[in-house]
Amino acid sequence: MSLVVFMIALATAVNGLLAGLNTDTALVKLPARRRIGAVAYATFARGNDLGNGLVVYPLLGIGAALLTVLATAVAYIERSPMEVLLPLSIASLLSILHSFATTRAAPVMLSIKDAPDDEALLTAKLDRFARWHAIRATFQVLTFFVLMWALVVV
Amino acid sequence: MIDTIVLLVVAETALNGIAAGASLDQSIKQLPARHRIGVVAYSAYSQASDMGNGIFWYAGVGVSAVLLSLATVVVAFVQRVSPVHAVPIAIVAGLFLLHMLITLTRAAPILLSQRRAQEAAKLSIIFDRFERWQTIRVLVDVLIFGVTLWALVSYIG
Repeated sequence: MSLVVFMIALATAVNGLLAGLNTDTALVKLPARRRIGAVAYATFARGNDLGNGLVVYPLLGIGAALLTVLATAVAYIERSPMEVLLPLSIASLLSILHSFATTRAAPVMLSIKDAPDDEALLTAKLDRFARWHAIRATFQVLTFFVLMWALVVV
Repeated sequence: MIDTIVLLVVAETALNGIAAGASLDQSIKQLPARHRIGVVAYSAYSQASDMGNGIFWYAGVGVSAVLLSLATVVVAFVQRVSPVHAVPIAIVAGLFLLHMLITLTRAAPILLSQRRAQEAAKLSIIFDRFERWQTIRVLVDVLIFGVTLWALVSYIG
């Protein structure tokens, strides 16, 4: 297995796991706030996103983006054909966009930590977080799919 | 022109990656949160998520993944693919059997039983038991994703 194939496979694995995490949050976790209310959901988020999430998200988020950019750099250095460089470049761009969306979503979630248990206030914060999270989840799933495209054509 | 078997393995990789990530989230973030917020608050969340959209999402992803795996095994058998590709494809199918067995006979019934429990002590026992089976399940999930990726990489070059 060449270095570029190994790097793309590794990036695909980590990005796949992050895509699963993001999708689960967008489709299963966040909609639960409409059933149990914003205050109860914020209590859960303080133990989840602001619990182990403070370690898991940065580790996987930064790791996935770094591996994607690194795989792209290796492909450029090894002068891989354009059909490989194209999906890798797109994946790197999507990773950067995911990171940007995270810089908007994360502060909203962090602000929930010390926010008072006010239903209206927490509803507004969680709705804002859900919007940015939906955007970053979309970028993340696309990154994963584009990396698989690179893996098929490499 | 991409072969049918490669398309199936790509689809499997996509679905199994999403499923493994969701399972990992459950094990390393969601379940440990009950120790911070208390098991009653956690149960309220779990019933709204795992038994809300979760029922459709997890069942949809799970059933689709199993069907895709079966289809891949059938196509691999019909096309008489070489052992280099057939071995990981067969391992994935075997791991799915194990996953289904754990989910349907252990993990899912334990999680659903929280509906009948009200007291914190009972809920603690239920979530501790669920966590043990979920730990095995997440290992199988990540393994399935890894082996599917191995199957995909086996078609490179």
